[in-house]
Amino acid sequence: MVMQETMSEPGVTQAADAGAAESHAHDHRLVAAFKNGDQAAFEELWLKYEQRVFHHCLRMVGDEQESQDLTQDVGVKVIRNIKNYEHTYAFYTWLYRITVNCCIDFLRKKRRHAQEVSLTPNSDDDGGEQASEHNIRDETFMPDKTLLNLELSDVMNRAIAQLSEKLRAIIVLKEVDGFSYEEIADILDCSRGTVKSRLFRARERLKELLEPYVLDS
Amino acid sequence: MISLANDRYGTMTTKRTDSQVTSACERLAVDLSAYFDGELEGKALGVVEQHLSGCAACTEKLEKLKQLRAAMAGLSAPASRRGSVLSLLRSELQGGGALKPPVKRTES
Repeated sequence: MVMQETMSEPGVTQAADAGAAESHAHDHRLVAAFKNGDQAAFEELWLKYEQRVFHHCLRMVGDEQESQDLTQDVGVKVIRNIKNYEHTYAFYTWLYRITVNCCIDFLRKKRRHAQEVSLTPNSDDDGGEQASEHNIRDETFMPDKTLLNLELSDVMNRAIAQLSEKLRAIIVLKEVDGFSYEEIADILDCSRGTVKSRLFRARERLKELLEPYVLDS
Repeated sequence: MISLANDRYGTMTTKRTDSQVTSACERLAVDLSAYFDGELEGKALGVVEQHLSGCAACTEKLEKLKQLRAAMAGLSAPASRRGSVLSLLRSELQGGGALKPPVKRTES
């Protein structure tokens, strides 16, 4: 996994690429060992990525216990589906795909449950883009409410929670996990163009939500 | 649209209107976001760089993207996480039927 930085020096990028390639190769060796019954290989592989999986879940769902549960779910899915993993792409791409899908499924179930108990008529399920922004609005995240005492991280977390599942996933993959557009496209199984436009929309929405609090107007 | 006007000497000149600047900014908005990520190449990169050299509004947008990134970078993982879930996964490992029987690793 290579952290993308703007205007990076070629030497730094080459060294980072070489390190990433070795990391991928090591992951593949561990996966092969795991498929052959080596449980210690899985443990080494899991411990390498577990904290990042947890952090991604936390930024997606916002709750530590739920994130811990989701991390476990991801681990179970990896164990049960490792036989389906092909070496044509990096292990972490496959792992993050499972992680993102677990989080999105969780958020959608939560949203549907909230809709079921809400008296508000539901909109069509359009991937959560409108429904999540209108039906589970954080009523405390209102520009006219006093949020000055909140830390920036609280405001940021609340703003992220207002994004639809798709926009939330892409902004977390980019800004928290540090993936490149190509890596995100592999993880989400979409085109690079989709990553580009969806990331733009996520940022525009976040800027709207944060404008009254953190960004200079 | 570029408006053509005659200056006082009757010479045709081009004058960039406000709506033209705004529409160019809007057209380049998505590319600007990709430029910020270092993900633009070739012609698109050149177009955005040229636009930025003369557009204060888009330069300001870049600054806001930097602020947004800095704000998100501040969302570090909590120090007090409840520990690894590995112990919980071990039961799944031992109960899994898809794997071959466990073998001992030989230390090299």
